[in-house]
Amino acid sequence: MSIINFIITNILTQAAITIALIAMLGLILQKKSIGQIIAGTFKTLLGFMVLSAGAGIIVGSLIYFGKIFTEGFHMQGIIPSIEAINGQAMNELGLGSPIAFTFLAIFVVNIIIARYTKWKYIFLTGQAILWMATMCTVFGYSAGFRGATLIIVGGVVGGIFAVAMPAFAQPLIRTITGSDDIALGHFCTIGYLFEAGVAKLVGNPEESTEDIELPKGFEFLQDTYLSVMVVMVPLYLITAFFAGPEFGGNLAGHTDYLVYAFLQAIQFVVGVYVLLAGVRLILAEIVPAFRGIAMKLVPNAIPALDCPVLFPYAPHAVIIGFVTTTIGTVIAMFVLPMFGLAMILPGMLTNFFAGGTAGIFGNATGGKRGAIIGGIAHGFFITLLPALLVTIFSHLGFANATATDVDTVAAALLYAWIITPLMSIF
Amino acid sequence: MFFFKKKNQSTDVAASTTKTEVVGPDLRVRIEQLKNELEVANSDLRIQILNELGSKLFALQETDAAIQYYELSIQENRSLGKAYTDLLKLYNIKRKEAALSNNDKQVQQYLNKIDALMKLSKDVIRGLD
Repeated sequence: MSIINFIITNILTQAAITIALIAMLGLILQKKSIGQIIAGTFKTLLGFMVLSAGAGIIVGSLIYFGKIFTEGFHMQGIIPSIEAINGQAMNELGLGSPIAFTFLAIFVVNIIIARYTKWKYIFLTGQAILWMATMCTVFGYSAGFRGATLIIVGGVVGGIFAVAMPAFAQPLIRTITGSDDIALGHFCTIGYLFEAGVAKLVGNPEESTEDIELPKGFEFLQDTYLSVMVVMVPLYLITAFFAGPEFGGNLAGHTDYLVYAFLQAIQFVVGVYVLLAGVRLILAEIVPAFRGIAMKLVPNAIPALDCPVLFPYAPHAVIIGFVTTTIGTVIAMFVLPMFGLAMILPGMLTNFFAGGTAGIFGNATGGKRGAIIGGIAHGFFITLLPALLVTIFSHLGFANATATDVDTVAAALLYAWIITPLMSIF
Repeated sequence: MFFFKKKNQSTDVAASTTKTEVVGPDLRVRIEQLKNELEVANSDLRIQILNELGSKLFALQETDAAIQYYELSIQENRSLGKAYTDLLKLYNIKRKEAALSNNDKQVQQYLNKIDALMKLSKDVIRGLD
């Protein structure tokens, strides 16, 4: 009995060990050599430690930003970053182990649904499943679930989303790609369908975005971290300027308050860099194992792939989607506080990937006019939904951040608006 | 409903098989021609021939050969045209075949190739050559 207690209290509650054990299970199931199993398990363990270090850096920078924003603008300024939410949940809130088990449970539920129903979608974007596991665990925890129930409910909710989202998008994916060979595995699908709906109302699919001339690429987007920096540096500097030299100076110590703000902005980017390096280390071992198993158990699966898989079908729409979504997020940033909601700052990574993909959907149902108007509406929509979560996040102790991917936000709202009230009845 | 769907699918397969049988010999002649032209072609013409070879071999359901030419095309010219979208389909076919024959190594190999295609599309859109 004391051994079981030891395992439960000292091993299964330690997220780093839990995640490493899950990776080890995957490697054993793949019949890897002893050397590969040991190396993979320890790399995953290392990955979690790197992720935790990144989370610490992000939180430090976000706490500083929260203080200067409140002083400068007399309202709450929120940075949309699912990485920051994941890092804080795993690290500060101590939910790392349940998140790891929920991640595994989502895979299992997805495989069961695909194996035994007509919905053959296997969600292959590991990072997106990690974000979904995070949101299901955080909001399940907030709803009062604990232990195995927290993981099972999270696995079922996340697993259903992992099949339902590709299934909902599939009619349009068929229009875009001309076949049923692949599906879309990116938890921003509700936003894509929203843009497609708006575009259908206002546009004409015959007048495609692909018939117009556009620049080939955006140089600042060539590097993921550079694109985050392009937004974060001016954001921190402007906020520090409005907070003033006295307030900013108190936080900056002996450094000039604007230089300190600049360095804190860079710290945020460093945090994202480190955290994502940790995520990559973790997923590099776990994802190949489980997607291999999934493909074997459901050989006729339709693989639900990450959003860049759609970019070649309408590259101009991607650029239009990015630009218009950014415009929509900027509009929402100023409009939402008028309705008593927090100010959500634009997130460039989401705007690029989710906005770009949404542009393809907008073009498919409403051509260039649909992609432009639908894109602005999409930007507003993907800012509004995370704004609704801010109060709950703050209540749970998260520092000045909210989630980004709208399907994970929808899952969180399902917990907050439906499951939690139901729990309080029983 | 399910029954009808299945019936339609089998009709489609029959139709495409018939089509392949009819155009097959012509296609093979054209493929040989293209292979000869490829030996002396360069730059844009070479890419065009590689893509046509990929497309014709795909029509003949010679998956491995089609992949070979399309991969060469993508290697020599990183772009998001038909070579990309056909390669995605071909890799998926190979992935399915590998899964059905329980070949784990090949399942991973083709999933990794699909990952590489996604990276390519991300890079091209961002203007990275």
